Amino acid sequence: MSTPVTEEPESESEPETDEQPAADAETAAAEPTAQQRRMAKKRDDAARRDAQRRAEEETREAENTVHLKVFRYDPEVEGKQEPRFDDFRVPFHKGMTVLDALIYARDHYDSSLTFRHSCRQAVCGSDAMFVNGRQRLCCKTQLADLDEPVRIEPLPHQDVVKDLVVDMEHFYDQMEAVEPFFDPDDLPSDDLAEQRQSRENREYIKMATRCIWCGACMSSCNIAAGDNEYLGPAAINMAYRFIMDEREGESRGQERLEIVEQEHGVWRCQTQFSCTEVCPKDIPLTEHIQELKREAVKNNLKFW
Amino acid sequence: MTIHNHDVIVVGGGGAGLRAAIAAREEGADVAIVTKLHPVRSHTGAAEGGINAALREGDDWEMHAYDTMKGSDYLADAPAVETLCQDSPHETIQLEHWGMPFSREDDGTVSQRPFGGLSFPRTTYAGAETGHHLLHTMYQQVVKRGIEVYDEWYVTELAVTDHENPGDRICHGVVAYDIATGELAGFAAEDGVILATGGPGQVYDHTTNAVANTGDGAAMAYRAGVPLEDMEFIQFHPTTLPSTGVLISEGVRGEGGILYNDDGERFMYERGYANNAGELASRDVVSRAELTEVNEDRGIQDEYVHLDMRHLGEERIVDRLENILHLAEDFEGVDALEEPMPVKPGQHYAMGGIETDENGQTCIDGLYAAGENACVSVHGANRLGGNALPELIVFGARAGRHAAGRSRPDRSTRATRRSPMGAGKRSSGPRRPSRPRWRPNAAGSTG
Repeated sequence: MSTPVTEEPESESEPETDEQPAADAETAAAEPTAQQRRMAKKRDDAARRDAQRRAEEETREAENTVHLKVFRYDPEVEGKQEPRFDDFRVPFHKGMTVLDALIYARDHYDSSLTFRHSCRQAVCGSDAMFVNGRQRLCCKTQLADLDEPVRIEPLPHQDVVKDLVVDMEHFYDQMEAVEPFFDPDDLPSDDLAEQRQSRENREYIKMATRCIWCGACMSSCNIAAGDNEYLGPAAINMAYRFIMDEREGESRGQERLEIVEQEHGVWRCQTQFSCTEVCPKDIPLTEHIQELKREAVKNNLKFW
Repeated sequence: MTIHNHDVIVVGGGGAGLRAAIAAREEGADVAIVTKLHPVRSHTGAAEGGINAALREGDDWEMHAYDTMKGSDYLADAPAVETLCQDSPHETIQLEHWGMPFSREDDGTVSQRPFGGLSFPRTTYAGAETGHHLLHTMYQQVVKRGIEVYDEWYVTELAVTDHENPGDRICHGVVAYDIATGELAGFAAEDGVILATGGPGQVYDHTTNAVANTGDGAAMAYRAGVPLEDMEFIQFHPTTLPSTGVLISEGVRGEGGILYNDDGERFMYERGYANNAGELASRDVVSRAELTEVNEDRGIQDEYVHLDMRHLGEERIVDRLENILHLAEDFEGVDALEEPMPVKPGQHYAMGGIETDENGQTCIDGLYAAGENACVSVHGANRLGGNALPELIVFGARAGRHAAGRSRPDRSTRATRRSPMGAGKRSSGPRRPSRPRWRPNAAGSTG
């Protein structure tokens, strides 16, 4: 069975429960708040036991359960400071995703289990994790496609904040290092006139604009793991999106190329394709990096 | 407790919040966004359809306004609708000028397509991921302007004075905690607070909304004494996947997809729900039909109906509905080329929200709202497809400009008249001026 629901902090916060017998009517009348608190706690405990029992029954009744091994770590709680794996057995249904299973485990077994998630449909990019040894978005990963036990860990090569939550600051810093905003030379003077862009050019940058900032690519990249200053696949892809956009001017493109061409830019990529393989949006990241290498070479030859 | 001082505090980092922050910044205000997610995680990113804007020859904002009023069952407020439709073209092209990768016509102009209830094809789109591009384009502009973002900070309460009459109250800021550490902090707003926290979809068991869409902004405003308007108007989408609520686009039925009940009946016709329009009847009609089928024991597994598109043939499906195949497989484990997709109605959008005027102003001085959590009342009883995104950018921008206060001639007097917290620019300890008093817990006295 799974880890027990964490009860220590709750009982610690209400020590008076043991000191005052619940049957003491006088005390209860004199201190209605204490009594109310005791009753509330009793009800809570009963409800929790009830929920736990129902969850266990459901687990046993279900023909099919899925076994999760989930990484746990909490630097603020004694006894949880050493990383460990907890086992959860979750009732399985057709169509169930890894995220569904995590939510079930949190709601029924251990409310302290922590992970980022929001949209449940692969657009917010919150729930990239390391599932069975590969970076995946939990919400779009079907449990049926995975071998058991399903091992769920936080994204490698990033600092773990708690359980499955990693510190994304470095990733965001790298994304912002490439000046990720549109910067045309000039705009149409009429504020209702749009800049023209050919269908071909829009198609050309389309895949690059699909990035949801999940960080799976960066986490999968050996180079990024060894070189903390490496811009990484997502940031270079962001630069690519602007360099290839025909609406931006040539001189801006030069500046952008200089950013990605620096020591910790495109030349660090060793074309292992790990980022391309894990990208949940199927962005051809490695190809984009290679293309920027070619652009950089062409650019440098021009000034000879 | 730490107090962070800014001119304008925007709560929420989705479409409306980002647009408001940019607008306030352009008015010269020191603006900060406080959001419980990182801005690019916001649910605006899930919007697919597009942005209704009268941009082309043969179309004009009055036709857009007429369609919107008609679609609202004539329950929207006409001045608000006019504002939406007049401002939308400018705001849409503003996004293009910020580099948003809209789909394009042969001549390089932005593409528009027809949408339900529109008299002109004016839904401006970027593939099937318009919301994603809108969100990211605006976040890029926020980065460009160096606007401060407090991400993963959860706002719990508005700092509002405790005057008897809500109309006399003044909002001075918000209280929030850092989700990672639990640290509480005050955010003092010299000029105004803008609520842009999105919809309340998670109130419903089955919704297309994100887990984060818990209606926080509307709840806080209500506790502070602001009326909520049109809360009974909730839109349900007829085709969502049962396990996650992921939306299956109307495009499937548009291409000829058929709805069946457990008895294999094409119930939209055979049970007489919509003898003419069939599966293409409006969202509310199809949603009610599906629910009736399930309630009368003709649902599959007592829960859903089937949406079948297999008869369209693999070639047509792959060509036009490829993303649907991915959605069905990734989120429901169903190969829609081989079997019908399970679908059921899901909560999709709240037409109502915090009562505001066309500038996002609520009845409390210094408190504004924009986006799905607000109700300027442009949707009445029913929102048209393609009208949610223009609402974000039009009313986000207006709220941002007005909160920054520059549009009012008496800004300097306003600024000194209020803001007991911001005046001293102190960094700790909320001071309690004798009158008006700062009331951190407004619960229970909503006037």
